[in-house]
Amino acid sequence: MSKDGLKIVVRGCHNLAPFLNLVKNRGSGLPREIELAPLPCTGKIEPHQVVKFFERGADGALILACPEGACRFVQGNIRAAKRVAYAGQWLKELDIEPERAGFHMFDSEEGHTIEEVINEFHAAVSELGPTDVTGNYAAGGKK
Amino acid sequence: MIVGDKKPLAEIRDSLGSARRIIVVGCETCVAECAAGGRKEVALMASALRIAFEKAGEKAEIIESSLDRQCVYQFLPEVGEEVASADAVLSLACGAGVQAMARFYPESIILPGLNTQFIGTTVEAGIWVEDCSGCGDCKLAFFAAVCPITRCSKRLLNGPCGGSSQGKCEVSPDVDCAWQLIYDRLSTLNLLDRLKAFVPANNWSTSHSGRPRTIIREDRQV
Repeated sequence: MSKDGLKIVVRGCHNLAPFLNLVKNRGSGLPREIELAPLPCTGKIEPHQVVKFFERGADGALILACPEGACRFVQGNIRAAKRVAYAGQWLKELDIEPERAGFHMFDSEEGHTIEEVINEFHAAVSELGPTDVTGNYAAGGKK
Repeated sequence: MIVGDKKPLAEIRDSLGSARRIIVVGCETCVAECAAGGRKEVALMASALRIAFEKAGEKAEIIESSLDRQCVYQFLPEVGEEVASADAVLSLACGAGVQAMARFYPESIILPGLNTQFIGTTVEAGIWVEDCSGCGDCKLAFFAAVCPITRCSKRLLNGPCGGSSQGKCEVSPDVDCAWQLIYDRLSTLNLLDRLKAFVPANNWSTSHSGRPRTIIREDRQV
């Protein structure tokens, strides 16, 4: 948990160099409690994985993709955008603000660092406050 | 394949009533292809239910499972133990799968998680269209394999209505005119002469109208 009690999950594309650098060498500009992990391509993300973050107590989940037109797998970032949006529809049905499932195509030419993008998302989730899902819920087994 | 889409979560929660040990069972055939009831959707539904119960301050156990085909009895014993121990089964299969489960597990509460929609085709990723009405009197041979019973809004068998514009149905600009498609395909196949033949009215006695249908094949009953 971060200092303000929020749990933020960030997943990003393995081919997005600034994100991969951040995973390997986290600087002080980012709370260590923000959970970072790379994906082989953001097109790999599925709606059930995004909703699962919230089941496990995340207050926000941010997917960081490569810029439009720069996906190594051509459409992985576009696919991810749609899947995160679909997960947001499920969150809405659950009375959880859909904007807690964030998506951003990061382009270093935009003039922002990737830490700034993550911090901005963190601030937006802070405004919303924590969800009322603890993540401690007794889940059933998987067959 | 049979195409379905998920029911609203609120409706599912209502149907579950007081059940608190719930098994969500997917089907890996048609409804997995249309991204409504396969393993991934079981995981999605299970997570959503866990969140919903926690938000309501209620304890519930949600178990995830999936079968190759819910509409075939041979596959159903695979979930026997879980079904026996559950208060309710939430099936993400089509209506046939839900009913097969109910026949096979007569003592269990079996609930639908999907609205079964139609027999259709995946025309491109994420787009499924209705192609067959299961009328029991297939006339695709007359129409170069484009079904006017299903795809013509007026179910016309002997030519277009005259209301289409630029290949689109007057009912909606999103709907292709089936008769334009029939004409185009017959033209491509050099079979336009077929349009001169009168096509008799459909035999609706073979359709769903009136009673559920059954097919019996003695050679497959042994």
